[in-house]
Amino acid sequence: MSDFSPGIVWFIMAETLGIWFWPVLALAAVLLLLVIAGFTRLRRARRSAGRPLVAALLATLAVALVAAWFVPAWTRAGAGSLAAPVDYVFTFLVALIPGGIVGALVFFTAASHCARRGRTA
Amino acid sequence: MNRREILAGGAALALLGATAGGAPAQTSPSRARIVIAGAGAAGLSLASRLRRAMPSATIIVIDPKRDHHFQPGFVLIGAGLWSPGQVTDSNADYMPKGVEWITEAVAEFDPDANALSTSSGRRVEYDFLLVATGLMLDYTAIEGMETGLIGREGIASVYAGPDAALASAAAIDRFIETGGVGLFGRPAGEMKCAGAPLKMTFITEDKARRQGRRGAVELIYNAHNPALFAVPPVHEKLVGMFADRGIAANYGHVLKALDPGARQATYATETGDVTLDYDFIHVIPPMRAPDAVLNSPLPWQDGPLAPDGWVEADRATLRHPRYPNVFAVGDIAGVPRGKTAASVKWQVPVVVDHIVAETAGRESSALYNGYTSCPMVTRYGRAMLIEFDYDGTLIPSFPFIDPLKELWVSWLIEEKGLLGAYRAMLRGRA
Repeated sequence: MSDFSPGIVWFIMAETLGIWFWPVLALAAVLLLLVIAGFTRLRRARRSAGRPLVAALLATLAVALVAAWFVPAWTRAGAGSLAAPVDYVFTFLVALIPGGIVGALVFFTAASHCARRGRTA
Repeated sequence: MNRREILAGGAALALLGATAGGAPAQTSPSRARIVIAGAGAAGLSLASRLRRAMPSATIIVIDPKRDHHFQPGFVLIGAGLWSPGQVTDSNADYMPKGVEWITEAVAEFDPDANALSTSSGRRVEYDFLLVATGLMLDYTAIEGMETGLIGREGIASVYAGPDAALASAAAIDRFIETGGVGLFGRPAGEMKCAGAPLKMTFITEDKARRQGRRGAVELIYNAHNPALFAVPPVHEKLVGMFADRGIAANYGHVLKALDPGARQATYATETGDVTLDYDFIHVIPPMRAPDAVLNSPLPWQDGPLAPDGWVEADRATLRHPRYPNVFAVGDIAGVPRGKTAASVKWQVPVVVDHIVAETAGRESSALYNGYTSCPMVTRYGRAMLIEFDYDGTLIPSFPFIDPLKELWVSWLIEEKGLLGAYRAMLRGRA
């Protein structure tokens, strides 16, 4: 583990994703900007981030739970291949990727909605 | 989104990017002339790291091969999961800028004159020589065997290349369909990826079981010595797995001849030759140094590593004891263990550090501990991530992965993680 610096992980991801690396990074950047924009709008409207965060969390978990069923197949393995708690943990961690994408979109949408309602209230 | 929001997000991304560069490596201003014989995993990784660490040095890579194969993927082709295209790249894509690539084979090493000659007769002199030629698959050392038989007459062998691995997958499918006796095994000498023979045994067994044909096939593993694996706890684990899955084991059996027409394999044993009938056999050839190395002064002059021509090297520094400006890296290195791509990942930084330090007037303390890794595929969807050192001590990289347990997460690393890590290694980034 001592060899896994952020730099090495960066290059391994770049080689693993190949031509998709920069598009994936751009998508991650857009999602990050959306989350930051959501928080900014809530702050300006003096609204709490609680509800959008809960909505985003629930969306993330829901999508991740569904996606987790498909993760073993993505690795050309059956669901019966999961053998130990660490397998289930990593299945869920992988499934958090689509979950996180949906969660970020839900947060931005909910935060924008909350902020609009705060201004018009 | 407004401008402030975009700037705030940009700052966050910049912070993320700043952490990705990693710590700078040691460098040397030396103008040394460094020749790397071989553009395989070790050769390209050496070239990439040295190019960055020694920007003023002349670096020359000698290898006629244009294609580059991710050899750990051959087993997955043999399993019927990957295609040859997934493991085939171009060496040119990984050759660092500023490195001279001579697309010829090394014909002769002359370490006493600090020079070598290529297949066209060109003489290349060096200050440092890095021998990374890889090894030679000596199929013809098995009487009656040749690579043209792979995929025919019940013969498989994933080692010979991606196309041979694909032909092997088809041979396995035919064997499962028709049933009969399947033989597996490994050669007696040093070999690369010593887990592959076992992986192919497990894959065949699992595939037959999944297709409802397990009862139609009898599987026999012929170990070359009294153990299934050189690391004792792994051997014990494998013995249990063989028993659970009905795979028979013969010990001290080394394949010496094949009669493809009669489908008979002859093994040398302590008590004399033994001939076994088969319907399918996975052949792994004896492996040795390429002729140019074998016929040079570089190999061990005596001891167990001498007959096959492995380059004499200090096991910790990989430096040649008789020619101190020569290092051996990868499969050709005459050290116990270490003939895997994962070993190269740990060998290359050690050798680079020694050259950089020496040319910069420093002393390197970098040592290679024999790290060898074998993601042992035990069935479709599960593997054991076995990592060990010279002493046979298990040295897991990930504390959450039990090396002796069949896990999906180990399969995940094998199926999704290794290729990217390998390519990053070729670029000297991992």
